[in-house]
Amino acid sequence: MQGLTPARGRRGISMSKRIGVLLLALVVACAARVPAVGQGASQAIVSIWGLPVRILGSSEAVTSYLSLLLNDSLTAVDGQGNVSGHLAEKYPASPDGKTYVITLRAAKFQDGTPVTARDVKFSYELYLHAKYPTTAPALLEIAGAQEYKAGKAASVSGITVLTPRTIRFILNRPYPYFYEQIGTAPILPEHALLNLDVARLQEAPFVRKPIGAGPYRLVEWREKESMTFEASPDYWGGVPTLKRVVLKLIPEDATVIAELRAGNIDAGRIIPEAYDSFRTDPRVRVLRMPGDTNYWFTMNMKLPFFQDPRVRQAMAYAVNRDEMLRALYRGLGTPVQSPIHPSLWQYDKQLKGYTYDPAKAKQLLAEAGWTPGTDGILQKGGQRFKVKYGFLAGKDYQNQALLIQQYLRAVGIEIDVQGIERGDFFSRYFVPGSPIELVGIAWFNLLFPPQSELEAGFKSTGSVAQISGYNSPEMDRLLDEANATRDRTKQKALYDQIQELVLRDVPRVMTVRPDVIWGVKKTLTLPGEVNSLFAFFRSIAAWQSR
Amino acid sequence: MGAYLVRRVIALVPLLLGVTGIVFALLVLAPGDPVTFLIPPEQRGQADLAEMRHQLGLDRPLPVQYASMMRDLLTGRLRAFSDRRPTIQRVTEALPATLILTATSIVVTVVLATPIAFLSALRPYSLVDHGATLFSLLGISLPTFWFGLGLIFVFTERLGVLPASGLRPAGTSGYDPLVIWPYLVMPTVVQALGILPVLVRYARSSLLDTLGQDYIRVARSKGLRERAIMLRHVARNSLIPVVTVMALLVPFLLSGSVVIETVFALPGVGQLAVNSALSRDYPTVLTTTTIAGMLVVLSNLLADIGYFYLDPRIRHG
Repeated sequence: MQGLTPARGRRGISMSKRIGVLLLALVVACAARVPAVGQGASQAIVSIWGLPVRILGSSEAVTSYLSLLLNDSLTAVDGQGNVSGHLAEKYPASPDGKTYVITLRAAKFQDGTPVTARDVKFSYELYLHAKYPTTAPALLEIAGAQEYKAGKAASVSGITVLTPRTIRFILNRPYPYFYEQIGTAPILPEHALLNLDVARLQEAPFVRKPIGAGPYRLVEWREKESMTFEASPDYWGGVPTLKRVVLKLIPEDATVIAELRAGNIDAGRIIPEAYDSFRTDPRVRVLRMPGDTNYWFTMNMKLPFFQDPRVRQAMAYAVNRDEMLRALYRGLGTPVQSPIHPSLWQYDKQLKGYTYDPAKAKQLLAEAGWTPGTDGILQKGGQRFKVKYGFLAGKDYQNQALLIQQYLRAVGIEIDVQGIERGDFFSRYFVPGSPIELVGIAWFNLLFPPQSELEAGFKSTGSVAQISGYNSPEMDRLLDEANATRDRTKQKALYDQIQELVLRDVPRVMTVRPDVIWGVKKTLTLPGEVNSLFAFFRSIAAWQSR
Repeated sequence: MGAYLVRRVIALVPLLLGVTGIVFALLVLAPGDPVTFLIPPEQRGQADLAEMRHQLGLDRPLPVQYASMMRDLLTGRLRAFSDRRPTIQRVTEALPATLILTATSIVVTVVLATPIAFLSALRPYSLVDHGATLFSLLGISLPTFWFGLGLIFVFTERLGVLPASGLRPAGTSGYDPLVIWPYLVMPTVVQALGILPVLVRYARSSLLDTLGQDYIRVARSKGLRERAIMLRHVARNSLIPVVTVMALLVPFLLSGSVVIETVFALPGVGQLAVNSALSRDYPTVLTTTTIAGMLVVLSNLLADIGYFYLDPRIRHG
C-alpha cells in the first residue's frame, strides 16, 4: 500500500502541496519586484554598447568617452569647439605663436599627489615615445618631437619644465591648434609609471588601474561587464555631485530599452523605433542630438568611371537622403552635406549641398558622355557603367548599400553590393592601392579635431585621400592655410571654402547622419545643452541626482 | 578502469594539438591582419605597424608562432593581442557566468525532463504525450534570440519583475545565489528550453525501449511493485542514452552561447570567443578552443565512467 500513498513530508504535507507552496513563493517574490538597481541616491548606471579593450595607447571611441571621466588635460574643447583652460590656469601664447608658457593650477591626481610640470613633460614624452602605438600627428609640431619619436633624442627639446607648476612648449612653427590638438592630451602621473617599458605598455598594471586627474576615479573594472567610477575628492573643479557612475555593458538595443523602462538603468541609448514611446514616458527625458557618425561612400578616382567630377556630382544628386533617413532611421537624423560635425563652430550652416534630383543626375552623366544602353544602364565607349560597391559588413551599412543600389540604378549606374568582414575590410580593402571601385563607410566625428579629420580625408597625403585617389592642389592649399592662421575669422572662412570645395569636387558622397538618442531618467538633472555624444559623456561630471 | 583513464588522458594531447592546429590555420588563413584591429585607420600613417607586429610575434614563421603560443598557453604566460593580459585570466573571468548558467540550465532541464519523459513513456500517444511532443517541437523551433527578447519584453519592460542584463546588481561582488537568482531566471529558461526537448525525446524513447524489454515483463510477473520496477530497472537502464546526450550537451553549454550572452548582457565565454575570433586575437581563440576541447574530452570521459557504474555489462565486460 505504501507505493500507492502520495509521498508526504515530515509534517504530513503532500508533495503536490509543497510544490504549490514553492511556486507561490516564487510568484510572491517576483511580484515584490526586484529593486531597481539604478535608483541609488547618488549613483547613475549608464548602459554602454562596449567597454574599452585598452585604456592607454588606444583610439577606440569608447576609450575617448571614458577618458573624459578619468583624465584631464591642459586645455579642453567644449561642445561647440571652444577652448578653455583645465589643468592649465594660464596658457598664453607668444606673439609669434610658437611658444606657450603654461601655468598649472593646483590640481591633484586621484591618488592625492599634485599634478606637476614634470608630469606634463612625462606625459607628452610618453605619447611621443618611439614605441608608443598611437601618437597623435599634432604632437609632432612640438620642437624636437620628431627626433624624439625617431629615437634620435633623449628628450623632447621643445618641452621645458620651468618650475614645478610652469612648463614651456616651443613649436616648430606658428601652429594654430595648440590648445585644441596638443593641449588636450591626458596628463598622467609620472610616479605611477616609473620604469615603464613602453614597448610593453599594455602589460603595465597602470592600464588596468589607471590614475588620472579627472573628475572620477576608476574603482572597479569587470571585464565585459561594467566599469565603476567614484567621484574624486581631489578634483580641481570640485567634487562631482554624482558620487558613483557605473558604465554597464549591454550590447543588445532591445535589452537597453527594457532596462531603462524598468528603471534598472539610469541612462541608455534608444533606437529610433522606440523614440516615440519614450517621448511619452513621464519618467524618462529623451535627448536627441546629431550623431557622431556620418555615413558616406567614396570612389576610386583613378578609375575612368569616376575621374570626371560631373559623374561624382551626379551620384550625389542621385541619392535620396531624406528617404534613407525615413526608411532606416524613422526620419531621426539629418542629410549630410559637410564632413564637419554640426555642433562645431567650423561647420558651415549656410551650406546648401545636394538634394535628391535624379533628373539633374542624368543630365550631368549625359554631359560627361554616358548614354543609356538598351537595358537602361549607361554606356560610354562600349563600356557599361557597372561597378562594385564594397561596404563594411553590418546592418546599417548593408541597408544603406541596398538603397544606394536602387538610387544609382535609377540614373543608369549598376552596382554590385558586397559586405566585407571587418578584418578584411581594414587590412586589405580600405587601404591605399587596393582595387576598390565604390566603398561605403562611416566616420566618427569629434574623436579627433576637425582639422585632422579633414586632412585625413581630403589632403592628398591623407590616409583616406590616398585610398580614394583624391588629389586637389586647391584643397591642399586651403588645408595648409587653415593650419597656419590663428585668426578665428580667417579660419572660419577657410573652413567654409573647404566645405564648399568638398561639395564641388565630391571626393565622397555624404549620405546621412542618424541622430543619437539617449533616454535619461528624470531623477537625474543634466546641465545645459548636450549636442553630441561627446558632450553627453563630458556632462556626466555635472549631473545631479534628485 | 585506471588504465583506461590514463589512455584517454594521453589521447587528449594529440587531439588538442590537432584541434588547436586546425583552428590556428583557419585563423591565419582568414583575411584580416590582427594589427589592423589595434590601430584605427586614421592613425595608421603614424603608427609603426611593423613594430607592433614584432611585439606580438607576428613577424615569425607560422609554425613558430603556433608552437610559441601553445608553449606559452601551457605555462600560463600566453597574452591576448588585444589587452595583453594573460589569456587564462581572461577566460577565467568569463567562466563564472557560463558555469553558473550551465549549472542552472542543467538542473532545470533534468528536473523538468525526467517527469515529462516518464509521463510520455508510461502513456504513449496519450494527451500528455502529444502535449510533450508539441512542447518539444516548440522548444526546438523557437529561435533563442526571439524567445529571449520576448521574455525581456514581458518580464522586464512590461511587468518590471526581473532584470534583463548582467548576472548581478551593479556594485555587488561575488555570486550570492539569493542576490543573483533574479538575473538567472530568464537566461536559464531560454537556455533550458533549447536543450530540454532534446533530453525529453531521448529519455522518452529510451524509456519506451526499456519498458518493452523482457526483464521488465519478468519483474512485473514476479509481482514487483511498479515503483520499484520504475526506479530500479527502467530508470537506471534508460539512463545510458540520456547520459550520452548530456555528455554532448555539457561541453556545448560550457563553451557559452553567444546569443544568450548578448541578449542578457552576460560576460561569458561565448562572447569572449566570438569577439576574439572577429578581432583575430589568436591567443585568446587558441585558449578558448583548448579549454573547449578539454571539456569535450572530459565530458566524454565522465560519460564513460557513468556507463561503467550504470551498466554491469560494461563493468564486467
